[in-house]
Amino acid sequence: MGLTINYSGIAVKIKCALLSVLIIFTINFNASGIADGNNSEKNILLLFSLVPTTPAYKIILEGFREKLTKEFGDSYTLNIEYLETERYPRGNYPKEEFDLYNRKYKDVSIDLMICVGIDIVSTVKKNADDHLLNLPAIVVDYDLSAYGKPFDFKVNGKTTSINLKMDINRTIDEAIRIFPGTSSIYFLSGTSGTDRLILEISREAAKNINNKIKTSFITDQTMDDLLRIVHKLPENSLIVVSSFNSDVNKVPYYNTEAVRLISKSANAPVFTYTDMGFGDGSFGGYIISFRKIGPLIGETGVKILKGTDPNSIKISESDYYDHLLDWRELQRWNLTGLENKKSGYTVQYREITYLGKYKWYLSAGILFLVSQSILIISLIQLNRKQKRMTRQMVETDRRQMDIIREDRILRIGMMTASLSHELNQPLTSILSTAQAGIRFINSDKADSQLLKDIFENIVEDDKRAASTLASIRGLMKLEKREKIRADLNKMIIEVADLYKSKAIEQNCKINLKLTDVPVFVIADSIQIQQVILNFISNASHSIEESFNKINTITITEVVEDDFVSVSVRDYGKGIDESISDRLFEPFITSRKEGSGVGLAISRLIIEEHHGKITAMNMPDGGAEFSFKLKNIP
Amino acid sequence: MSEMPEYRIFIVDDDVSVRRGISLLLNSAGYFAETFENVSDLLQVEDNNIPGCILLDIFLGGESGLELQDAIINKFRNNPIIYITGQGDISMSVQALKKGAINFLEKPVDEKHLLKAVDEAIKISQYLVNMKIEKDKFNALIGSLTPRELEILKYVLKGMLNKQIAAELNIAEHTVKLHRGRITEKLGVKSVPEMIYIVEKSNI
Repeated sequence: MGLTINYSGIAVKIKCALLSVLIIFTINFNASGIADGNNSEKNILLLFSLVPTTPAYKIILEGFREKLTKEFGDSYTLNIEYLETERYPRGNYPKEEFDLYNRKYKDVSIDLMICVGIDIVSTVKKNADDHLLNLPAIVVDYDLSAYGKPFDFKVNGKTTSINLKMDINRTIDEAIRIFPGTSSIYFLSGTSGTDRLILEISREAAKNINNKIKTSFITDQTMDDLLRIVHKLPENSLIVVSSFNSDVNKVPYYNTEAVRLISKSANAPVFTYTDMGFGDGSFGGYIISFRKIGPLIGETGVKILKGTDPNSIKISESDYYDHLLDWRELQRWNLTGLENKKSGYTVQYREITYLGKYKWYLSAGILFLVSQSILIISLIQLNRKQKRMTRQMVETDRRQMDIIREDRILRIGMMTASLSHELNQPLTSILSTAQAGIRFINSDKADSQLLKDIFENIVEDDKRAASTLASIRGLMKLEKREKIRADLNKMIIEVADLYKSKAIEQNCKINLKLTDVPVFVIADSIQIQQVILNFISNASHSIEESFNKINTITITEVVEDDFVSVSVRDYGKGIDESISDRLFEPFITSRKEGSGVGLAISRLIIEEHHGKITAMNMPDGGAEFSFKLKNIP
Repeated sequence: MSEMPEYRIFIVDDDVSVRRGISLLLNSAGYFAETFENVSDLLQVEDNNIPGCILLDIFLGGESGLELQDAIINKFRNNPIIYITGQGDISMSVQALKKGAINFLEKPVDEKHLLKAVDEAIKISQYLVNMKIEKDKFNALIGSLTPRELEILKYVLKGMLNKQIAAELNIAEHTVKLHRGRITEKLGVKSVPEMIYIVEKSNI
């Protein structure tokens, strides 16, 4: 109840209601149990004439028990004895057997005796003592009186007779109706007593068959021979396995087993009188149904045990006969139209179609296929997506390359224009001066001083052109060189050392503010050092030309995120405003002796390293030139 | 150029060696050239009806020479511009020629082209200067006429007879004759066609 504390009031109420129902149920149950106890347990004696393994008995017992259990639950006792009259047919055996039973059940209170088997009553009456013979009884036996075999169906005056009238003619008639073209019927029989008996009545019944149909009786054969015979029967034949418990060599068979073997090798449909063999190759038709007889005995037994007068219980043919068809046989003999309910037959063993039979396999297979398909499709899509992305990346990469190339072409174009201008000036001068010289000489106006001036001018212009070319070579030589992982600190220190003597000469100091640990970049060290050197050189010139006497050049290295930036700061005259926006273009300079290519080269180098180069005037005087590169851990 | 006329050539280039070279070349061919580093220096010079031409670098320290062309043309109407450039650009050349430059030379310029261009330019300039001188002369002649004489000159040029002019001005035919005699005397002409020529060349 501890748990219910947590529940709401309604839950508690429901629980209480359930509890009370349970209590009432238990009381009733106990009451009925007490009532049964008063009646004591039902005690039933069941006598079978044949061996325990007889297939029909199993089926009979099954149906019988079901009915009894349904009525009495566990409170009944079933004593079963198998007389095995077939196996030990002669001599004193039944007598000795019943002596045992008589003793065995002498002091046992038996409520009902049930006798099952062909002509069993005669044996019982002959051997059982009065104790048994006075019991209320049910007799289950073939009624072959129509074939001149009148059996006794009454043990005493308290007997219910379930006399199974064997209606062979109707069975055969229906078989012929199913196979209208039948021209001959083969009756197959075993050699046991029962087999011979049933064969005998079969012969009797065959007399009533339309004489246009040939009837043959095959018995006293080994099973092997029999199977060979049925394999080669003429067309339009029917086989009737009347009964088969042993072959001529006394090899025992069960009916079901014999029917299965015969049906398997037969080239004609196999019929039986009972459902022993139905499901094992018997076509079916109008047959005695042991599947019905079991429950019938059970029901009858219950009635008697409950006090119904055994004599008053009447059994009709429909209680134990059935209209059955084996679906597989219909398929085998290509019969259609019998499957519907109008035919009056119940079709059994309907083979579950492949679809039905392998429903689970199929659905599992389909599910697997579908999931595989989905997987494959998604993989394909993934693949496509990846390809598309790769293509886009390649495209982007290519476009970037294009931009870089176009930019380079543009810059080369600009540079060429600048270069041609730079070279055209001295060339123009040289050409004009030289041509003037020739003219002066031709007109005899050339004195040696004039000619000397002319040649000096030419030499000067030529040197100027050469120096322009030399400076431009630096730009042109900037081809792709191998870049490796290198320590930026080391590069800076090396450049600073390199510049030391020149710095002393120019009366300036270089102040380094570097990180404590090495900072790595992917670079061509020589080129990066060229940039730093250019920055320092510019700074020193700037200091030289300014009136401000702060002569310190500070190189600062800062690592932030994935980048490292190096800046060179001076307190010189700063960047000339008139050229500040074109500072990195070639041949732009504010110095008379400057070539104007240093910063252009520096920019090319840094951009080649995927870095960024900047220059700016500082508010407190001077300028700062810096570049930024990707920092590699 | 049978008689040595007085002329002048201006060279405008920011590059001193280019100025010096071209000027030397022109010198050797008998021309005298004045050199200027930029356009504003050139504009300081007086224009005085001397034939000549201007050799102008299209890029002067990065500025386009074209922008200063108008100022030069306004000042030196009779001195044609020859452009000299290292970066011969078609559209720029067309622009320059449309605006009044007469020629285009590419650096390094050969003496043959240079001297030919200069020669042609000077001839054009000579013609322009002559035209200007004549026009100035005729203007002065016309200017010497009295308003009455000018009035009568107009009627004469219309082809009216003395009698008609007299009726028009409501004066005596004889008076018209007197005025006509004074006009021909002042203009130094003998016939009406000569009179028409002077009036056409002058600003009237």
